[in-house]
Amino acid sequence: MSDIARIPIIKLYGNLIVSIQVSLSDQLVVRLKDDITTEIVRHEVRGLIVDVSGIDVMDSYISRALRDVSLIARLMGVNTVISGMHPVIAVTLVEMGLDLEGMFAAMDLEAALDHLNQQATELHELDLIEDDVELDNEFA
Amino acid sequence: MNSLENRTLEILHRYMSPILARSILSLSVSWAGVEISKLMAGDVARFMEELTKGIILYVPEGRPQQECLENLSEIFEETDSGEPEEALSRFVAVREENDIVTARSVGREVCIELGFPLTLQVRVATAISELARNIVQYAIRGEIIISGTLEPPCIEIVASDSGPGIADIDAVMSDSYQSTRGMGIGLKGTRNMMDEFSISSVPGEGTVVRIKKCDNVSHSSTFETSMTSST
Repeated sequence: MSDIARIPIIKLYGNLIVSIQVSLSDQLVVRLKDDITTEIVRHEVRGLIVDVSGIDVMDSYISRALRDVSLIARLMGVNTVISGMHPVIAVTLVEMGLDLEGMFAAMDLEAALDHLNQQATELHELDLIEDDVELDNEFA
Repeated sequence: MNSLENRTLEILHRYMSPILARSILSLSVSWAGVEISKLMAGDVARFMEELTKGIILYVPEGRPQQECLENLSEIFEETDSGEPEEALSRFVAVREENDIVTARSVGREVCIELGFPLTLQVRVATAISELARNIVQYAIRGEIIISGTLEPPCIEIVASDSGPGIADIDAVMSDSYQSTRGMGIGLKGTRNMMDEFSISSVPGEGTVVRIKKCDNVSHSSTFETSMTSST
């Protein structure tokens, strides 16, 4: 099965980055879902970025694939950010009546990374506060 | 694929279902042993003869039949006189996933030739992608005919297949429809994006979807209406 192309998944600063440059086929989508779940477990990542700047046409099938990937990631505790959507594609999606609900969108990869890092920091701070509360409780 | 084939189909469509028209055309082509894209003066008579057989069978006798035959011989006479019209017409056979990409890039090329702006190009390409995807997923094989006109600048796409057909078109086009593999919005979304949309389907025989998009000034207002109606 290794002769079939797969979409590369890159790990960067605790995030996974997936850049979709090719037309998504059934096989590629199935493989991508598998690969992403494996990588999430292996690297204990915080966030997933799906860069769609290489997509020139986004039909309902591709939207469904992206939504599925993001739902899977969310069930595993990982937030997904869609980055780099071409303005014309955004317009087309709205006109078709498609909605990528539950997915955060960023202008580009950099903004997506910023967003995920910020989120991670907030969570971290929240964790610290909770730890403090627990400590306080123990001493009380 | 050329304008001749399109025009023949167009005339046949007036008298019969698109599926029937297509099968009569393709049968006539194979029985006459001609290639419609390279129809020579000598081939025309043979092709017309086969076509006539089909028309006699399926078009009611009398006025309609006569009209149909007259219209057809007219367009073939024009071909005889040479001067092939440079029409923007492309044909894509859809059998596998790769053909989806081919179909939409061909659609895009036609859009570019027509001078469509990028927003329209993407809309048309997306619509073609939806239709091609439906063929691959539900009908296995089919074809897409993309034709453009310069005056007015319009693109028309006819996607036909001989798949299982759609039993309840109204259900598929309804707001509550959920498909198993898409967002359940493919055809609805396509209709939203296009100026014209028509679908006909016979269970067990196949489905034909025809869409049209023109580059006109009123376009921006349709976009606004669809935006407000969706809110």
